[in-house]
Amino acid sequence: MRTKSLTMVVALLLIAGGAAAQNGATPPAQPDVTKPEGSSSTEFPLVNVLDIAVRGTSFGSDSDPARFQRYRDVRDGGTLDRFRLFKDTNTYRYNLQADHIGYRDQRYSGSYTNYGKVKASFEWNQIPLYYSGSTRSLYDQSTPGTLSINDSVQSGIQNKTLALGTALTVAPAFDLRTRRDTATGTVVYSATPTVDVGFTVRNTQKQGAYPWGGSFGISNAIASEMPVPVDHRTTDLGTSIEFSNGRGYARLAYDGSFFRNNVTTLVFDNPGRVSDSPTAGPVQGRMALWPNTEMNTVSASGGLKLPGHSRATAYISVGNMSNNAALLPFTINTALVSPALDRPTADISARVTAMNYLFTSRPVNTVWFSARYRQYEMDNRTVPFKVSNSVNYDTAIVALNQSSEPFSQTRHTFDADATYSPVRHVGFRAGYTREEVDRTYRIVENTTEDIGRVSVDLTGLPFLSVRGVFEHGKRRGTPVDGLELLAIGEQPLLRQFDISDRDQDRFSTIIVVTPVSQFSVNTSISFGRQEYPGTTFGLRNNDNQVYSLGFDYVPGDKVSMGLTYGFEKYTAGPPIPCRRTRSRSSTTRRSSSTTRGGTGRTTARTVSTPSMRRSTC
Amino acid sequence: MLKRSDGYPASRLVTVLAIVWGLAVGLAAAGSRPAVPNPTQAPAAAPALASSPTPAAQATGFVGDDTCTTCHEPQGKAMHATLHGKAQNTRTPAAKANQSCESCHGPGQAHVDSGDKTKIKRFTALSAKDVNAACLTCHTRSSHADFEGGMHSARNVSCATCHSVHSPKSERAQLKTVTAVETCQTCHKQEAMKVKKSGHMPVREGKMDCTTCHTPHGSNNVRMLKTGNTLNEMCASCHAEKRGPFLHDHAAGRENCASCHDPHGSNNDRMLVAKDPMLCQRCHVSSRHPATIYDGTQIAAASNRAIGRSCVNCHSQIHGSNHPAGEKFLR
Repeated sequence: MRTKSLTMVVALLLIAGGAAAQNGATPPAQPDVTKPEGSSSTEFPLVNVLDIAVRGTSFGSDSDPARFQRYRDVRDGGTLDRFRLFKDTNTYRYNLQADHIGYRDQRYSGSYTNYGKVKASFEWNQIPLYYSGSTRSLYDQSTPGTLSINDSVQSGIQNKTLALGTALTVAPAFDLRTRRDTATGTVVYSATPTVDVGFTVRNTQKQGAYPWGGSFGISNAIASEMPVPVDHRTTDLGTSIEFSNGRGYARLAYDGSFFRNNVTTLVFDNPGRVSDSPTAGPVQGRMALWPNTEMNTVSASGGLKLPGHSRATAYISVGNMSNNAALLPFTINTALVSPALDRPTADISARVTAMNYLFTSRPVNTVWFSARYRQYEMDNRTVPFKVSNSVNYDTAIVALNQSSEPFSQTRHTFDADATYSPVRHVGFRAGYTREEVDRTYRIVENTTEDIGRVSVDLTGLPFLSVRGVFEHGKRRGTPVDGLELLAIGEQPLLRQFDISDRDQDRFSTIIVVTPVSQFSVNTSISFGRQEYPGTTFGLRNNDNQVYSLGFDYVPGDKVSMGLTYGFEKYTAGPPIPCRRTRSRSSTTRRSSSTTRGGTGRTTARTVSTPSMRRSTC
Repeated sequence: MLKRSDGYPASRLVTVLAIVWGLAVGLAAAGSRPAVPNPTQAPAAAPALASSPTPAAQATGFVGDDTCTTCHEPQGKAMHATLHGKAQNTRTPAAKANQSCESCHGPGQAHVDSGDKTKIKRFTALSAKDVNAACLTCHTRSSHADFEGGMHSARNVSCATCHSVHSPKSERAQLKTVTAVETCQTCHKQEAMKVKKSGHMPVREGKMDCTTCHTPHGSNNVRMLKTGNTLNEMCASCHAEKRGPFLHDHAAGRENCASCHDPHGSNNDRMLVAKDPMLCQRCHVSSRHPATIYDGTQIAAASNRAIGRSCVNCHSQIHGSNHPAGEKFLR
């Protein structure tokens, strides 16, 4: 808390400083004078284009048209593939653009700029996602959110007069695809030479269906594959006001994001049942799809130039994430008595606070350094949802006596980098990062990672460019209580790779040789190595090697060509050592503190866990 | 046992940094070298609608555009075709009447008098930091304000590494290449190759580019991400349905999308960093599921834990569930 208070004060001072700078700002000694308007000499790249063509694509019998067209639409026919219309004068400029007109991946955009006054732009962008053109399903999708199977098919399967595979062969094939349509509008108005006001509206609609799974039991489970309906819309609003002059800047902004799903519930028939049963399962399953959520953020940032070629910037944001969707009953199975809900709506709210403070300085011409402190806190204030009795797959009521686990996290990151450039083309950098993460409801509640790095960059020479970096990182966390893993049915020796102890090294370099200006050869080499020293089960190491070699040839402005060969190898594992000595003698472990999720619950338990001695192969 | 974190001792941190900075500035002052003329600093008095510099400007060494374009006509024309040449915008170099060239290149009198190339600021002969300092004199807003301290700044990347003032090739942002992807992949070879993999975002189809997610100038987010404060917030800016928060969150996903997904691309479905079920088995070896790798025998037996989408055949709400019985992400 002390840290937060201090850093907030620092940030506010900086912002105030930035704002104050406008009063005392010394404008450029030379007054701004507008030149007489004249014709523009723009030729390249502002070229008007109208690209009309005829396209045809042939697919072989073993080809996959859906994968080929995963994010595009290359159907046969005429195309107006590219349209560009520009007009540029010394006072304004507009452009209109269109791509793939009339196809699923079409895009339209336009912008207008009145130089120094207003910039406005609009874009409509369609992104298709084509999964399959040969999907067959017993499910009828005609009612949004309800996937039904013909009763006679259900009866036949339940009575074993019809095989599921046989039923599928007569199911109609259809295209399985979604499409994301995004409309974005942006306006930036320059109210004064130092103040900009910006507005952004983005609306994203996604519709279609994609592959999904639903199940009705644990033992001998039927896992149904189905096309889950997708019909949701996200509206993002953003507005900001920014002051900037030669001494600093200050910015206030609001960003809101509102997600609305038109299909929040999925009801799907059980292909193996035609009637609800308290033991054999339900006739339908029901799951909650994506709920309506909101996120609102207010942020303030500022920067100030300081003596000694230095600069300080600060950023603070406070936001809220919420989800108050109505909750479904525990089960749709009418043969079961659905347990009472702890509350009727999700009633979820999380406060998000972020800060970012940066100081950079170049006190002497050859030395530059920066220090940054970043904090991110997601404080989930949701009251845990009590689940005394739950329902597995709508088949049976089971005693659970658990609560939901509203996950929270706080990240503190400190970065420091220093670059030494003895000559202008060369920079040697050394850097250090320390990141601490506090989290709730995970088996490792706190991790600390230290990363050191060095790099060398040889740039700016016409014939040679070399960049290389080496990083070494070490992450350690609070000890894991195997009892907690046992309690949730996991292997007690398992460690979750994203929060477990980790040692990692990374080296990468890229070299570009340009013997003549038209021709260059490039190569890159990267090695990465991660080891998880405390892990017996799960990911134990993760290595990668990446090499590339290529060339570029640019004989002129209109023609360029290149070829690159890349090789990548990723190795994860290895599996549990092939020769090991199992010692089944029980080891008594005593856990005196098993606090999960900051609930303050402390228990003392004594259990016996099998220990395992390992020897390497 | 490691101590549970309650934050950095910020006061100590700030104190140490202030001392270091003060010492450095002191050293700089003590050993100050001859100052390089600041090309972006305009003369004390400027001409109004004049085609030649005033005596005051001449006194400070400025010669005016007309003199510059006598020898550098192509560069002058090219510059005036770009945004820098739009005099109506009072923030542009062109708004400085007859001194648009010298706004960036500095006073040219010495260069004109001697014909010596070293007597004027040539950006090809400057260090990356000097180039950046010149550009950032005017480009002080939006993401430009975050450039200093960003990763590119730390790695000796200058504005002129990616942008061209006189001969840009892109439709926007005055890049040296036609597209932003081409510019980025000059250095980021590994990421560029990942985009070519079967599981990828629609970058190679032209529906997105690197700048859809990243802001190359710097940002408040990690990895120079464009929006939000964390990688997850960036991902959720498009995948808002997975943003939550949910009644039952998958904590690993809530913490970092990149634990399971590689946003640049992979050869696995849904850009997963490893194939399912092995990916899930990195963290979950449950009593209800075999603690072995699901091998060919499992696939031959059509185990619903191995075929299709594997674990997410049943745990389909893996990003989080809003169902009261969704603690295992089944509903």
